[in-house]
Amino acid sequence: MTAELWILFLAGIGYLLVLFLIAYAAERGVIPSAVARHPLTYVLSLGVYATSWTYYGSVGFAQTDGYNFLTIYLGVTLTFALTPVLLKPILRLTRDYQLTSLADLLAFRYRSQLTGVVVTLFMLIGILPYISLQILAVTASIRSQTQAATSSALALGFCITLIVFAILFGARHASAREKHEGLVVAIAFESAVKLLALALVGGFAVFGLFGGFGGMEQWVARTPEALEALYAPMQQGPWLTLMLLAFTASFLLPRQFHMLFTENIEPRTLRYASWGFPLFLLVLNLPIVPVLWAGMAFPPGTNPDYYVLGVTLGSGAPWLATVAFLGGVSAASAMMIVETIALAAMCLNHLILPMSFPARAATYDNLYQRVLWWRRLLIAVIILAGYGFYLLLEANQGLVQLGLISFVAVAQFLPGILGLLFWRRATRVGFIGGLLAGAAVWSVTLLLPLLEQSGILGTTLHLQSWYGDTGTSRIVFGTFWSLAANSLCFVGLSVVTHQTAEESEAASICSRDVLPPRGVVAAASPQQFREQLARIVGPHTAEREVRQALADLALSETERRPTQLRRLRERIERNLSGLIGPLLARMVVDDRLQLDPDGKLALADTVRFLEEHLEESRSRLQGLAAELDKLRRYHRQVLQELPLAVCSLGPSQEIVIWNNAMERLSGLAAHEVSGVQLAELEEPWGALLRSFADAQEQHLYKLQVQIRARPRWFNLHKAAIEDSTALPPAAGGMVILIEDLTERQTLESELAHTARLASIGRLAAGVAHEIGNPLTGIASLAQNLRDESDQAAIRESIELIQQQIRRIADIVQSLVTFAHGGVPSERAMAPLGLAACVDEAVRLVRLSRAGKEINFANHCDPAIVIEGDRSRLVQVFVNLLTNACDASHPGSTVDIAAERDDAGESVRIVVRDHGSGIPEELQERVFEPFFTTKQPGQGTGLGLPLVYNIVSDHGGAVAIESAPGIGTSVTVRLPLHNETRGRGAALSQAGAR
Amino acid sequence: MPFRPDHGRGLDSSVLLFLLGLFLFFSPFTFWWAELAAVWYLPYLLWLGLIGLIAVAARRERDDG
Repeated sequence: MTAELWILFLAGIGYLLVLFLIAYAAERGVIPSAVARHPLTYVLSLGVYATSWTYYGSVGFAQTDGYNFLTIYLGVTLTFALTPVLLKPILRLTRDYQLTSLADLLAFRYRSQLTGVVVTLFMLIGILPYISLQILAVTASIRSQTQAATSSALALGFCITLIVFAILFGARHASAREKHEGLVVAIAFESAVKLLALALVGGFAVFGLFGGFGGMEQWVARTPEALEALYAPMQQGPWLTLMLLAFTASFLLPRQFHMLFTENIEPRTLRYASWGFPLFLLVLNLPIVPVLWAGMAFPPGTNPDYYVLGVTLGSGAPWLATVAFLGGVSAASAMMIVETIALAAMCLNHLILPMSFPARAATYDNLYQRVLWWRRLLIAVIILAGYGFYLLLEANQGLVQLGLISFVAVAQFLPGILGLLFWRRATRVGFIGGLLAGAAVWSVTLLLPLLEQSGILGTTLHLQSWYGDTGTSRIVFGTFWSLAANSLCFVGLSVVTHQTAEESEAASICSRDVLPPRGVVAAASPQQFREQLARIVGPHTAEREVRQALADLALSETERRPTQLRRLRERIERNLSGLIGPLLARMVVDDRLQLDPDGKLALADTVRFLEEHLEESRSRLQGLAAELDKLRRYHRQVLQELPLAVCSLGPSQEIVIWNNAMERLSGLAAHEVSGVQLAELEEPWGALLRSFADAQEQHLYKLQVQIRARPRWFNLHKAAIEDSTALPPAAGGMVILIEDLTERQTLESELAHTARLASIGRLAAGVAHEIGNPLTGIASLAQNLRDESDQAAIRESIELIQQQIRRIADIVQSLVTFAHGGVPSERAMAPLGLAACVDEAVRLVRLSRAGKEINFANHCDPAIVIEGDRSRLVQVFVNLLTNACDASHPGSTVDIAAERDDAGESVRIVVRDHGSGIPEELQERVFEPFFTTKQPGQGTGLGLPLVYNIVSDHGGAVAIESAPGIGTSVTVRLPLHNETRGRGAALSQAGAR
Repeated sequence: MPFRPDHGRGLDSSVLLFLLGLFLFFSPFTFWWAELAAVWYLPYLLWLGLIGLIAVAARRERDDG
């Protein structure tokens, strides 16, 4: 039975359309992003490793080399077993430094454009046979099913469809930081399709042809040589070589590198892939042996490479043959798409862009668009080159042989990668020399014979006598000698040559050694970054990259700190690396964002750098290093939690440490001020710390500083820190300690005020007593004289005398009242209504002339009951209302309001006038005895001190707020009567509700 | 202060698993089980066992953070 060509054609087109739809749905968010980020999707997307070689060629490989075919997957398992050692460090590097391909990674480590060029060119040459293999497999599979000759136009149509797909879904974003979710989901879908198709074919082979596992076992029992043929080649075959090639290819093939690292959306998924991907390969390979035996038992008349298709042709179910064909299409298309995208990125970064930078880049209106168009063009060129190679090759080339030749090419990068991860001494010369040597041996032993066999070259070399005449032995021979030459040159040349400073820095980064940053950026602001970058990459790209880097680091446009600008430079370099490759990115920032070699980088920078790296490396520290790290953390914690404010400064007065107490005291967060020069620090801290740091004194005591318009008192201490590592020891900065004395100072002031009041009270009592007695005598005598005199002039004079005597008596009475104010009478304490108390005071004040001209509004709740001495509290309100009257304009209103506090313990009474107010500088003195803001002769200066004393005696407090020209509010807080406290709280809460 | 224990376990176990893989699939032991040629799915069973151990190691690494 054969299939119709048009059915296969329509099925293929239909399948690719479904693939388009899936990728489109994922890009548009119709398929949730969580699907693309799921570990299963990641594992399936890695299934791009299994190409048509696996899908079709494994059966043929098993037929000739038995279980040697499994080595191609066992090698992968060994690679993934080493995930924490091998794959995780590479993923970290590619993500941190936005490296998009193997060429980027190697050029990043070996720091030369030549490295990128050599790697890219060799990868291109090495992979072209592999791409042509996929085209060959698809056309051969069609020929195998239809028994019809396939035209090269069909292969060309297949290639053009893949070009469109790769451009639409693999070249959407210019920068590597943007992942192609559509591509990832589509490739995962392709893996699922080939897994399902192969499982169906295997199921048909077992149950449809053998009649079940029992039938297959019986066939094996009748044909024991079939089982032996699987195991026997393991003893003589190229077991180790194939495993080594698979080990390398599983992460260095461009498509594997692309899906493993470049398109890795969630780093955590790599951990799942460490076992999930080998499991996928195991399941994929389970049907191979049953299909092989089915092909042997019921020969379908096809090449063993295409038994997967052949056995289905006799099934009587055309759909099964079509599904088997689609599985092959999915295997080939996935490989070609991803491989091409990866190769295009390499060619762009290492062949195309270096030719146009820096001279022409600045002229591009939009570098991102330019990069995208180049990438799309390269995708088309590479697939068409693969097609050209396919046309040149003879169709009878074995699938496995073609694939293995590419594997050996990729294996040439293994020494370089091992050097990158584990050998800091490896040099650029060693790497390039080794790679060229390996490539030369590979060309002679594998590529040229392939071209000879295909008739492209005449027969010039006769190497068969060296390695035998089988294809596999040629692979073993080529692998051994190419890798031997490569490794020897790599090690030998690395030993005899020296690294450049750049290489050494890159080697440190790759081996995660701590290398503190050096130098400061000459550009002093993000705007200057833009201006400098615009000269080389154009204003559009400069604007976008600086904005993106600022957002990544959560920095503002006003950033000026050298430390942060240095970080900004590094971030821009990393982001640019994802766009134009690591070497050009480095070239751009080195050229336009130069480092000032004489500029001293803040000590804070080094400290932060070391701390960040120690945090990252924490899980890797062992033994003494881990114990020292614990000790460091302990010391840091002590410093941070110290109740004293601590700030340490570097040699150029930049802030290095700013502990928690310092944050609370200053209101400035440590991350905001770290690395900032004292001269740039927010006032008053900048001036305070700078003047103290520059001063000769080691200690300053009770220094008064105005902070947010309030005085604060500090003790300051400092100590110099010597840089013990310098010879001779040099000043390494200083540490400053700040004690906050404000609370203590306030308490001391309160105590002094109270003591002064007490002494004035005693003095007043004495004076009143001494003046009162003679005054009484004078008043009596004046009254007698007035009664006895008939002369009007004398009587008038005596009345004046009596008037003055009354005034003196008032003053004396005030003094007496003030003096006795400090002695509360227990007898007089009783519950009293606040509103009634205020009303009584209002009545008394209204008796005066000023009081008659003012309106009083008593808003106090009649239910509020306080406990106190009624007459003294009335005195409090009389004094407050009198002051309010004196300050108010005739006709204005004085408001008295009261409210309970939340706890229901006390009441807050506010007496508010709308008068002239009290200047701010005088407000603190109004409670001092004999201080008055009234005109001379108008006030005694004892009213508010008396209020203060009486309220204090009642366990309350007085506060004053005044704004000149607007008015004054005096707030009196008094305790509520015990029995009404709970009710008061309840009422208060009810009111709140 | 929350000090955490040190981890070198992820690295150690991955190297051990790699060595175990070499022992299973590239050592005299490999040729011993190949000579047995007992059942056709024997290599798959050994392979599955190795994958299971890798999964356990990956899980422990996750638990360790």
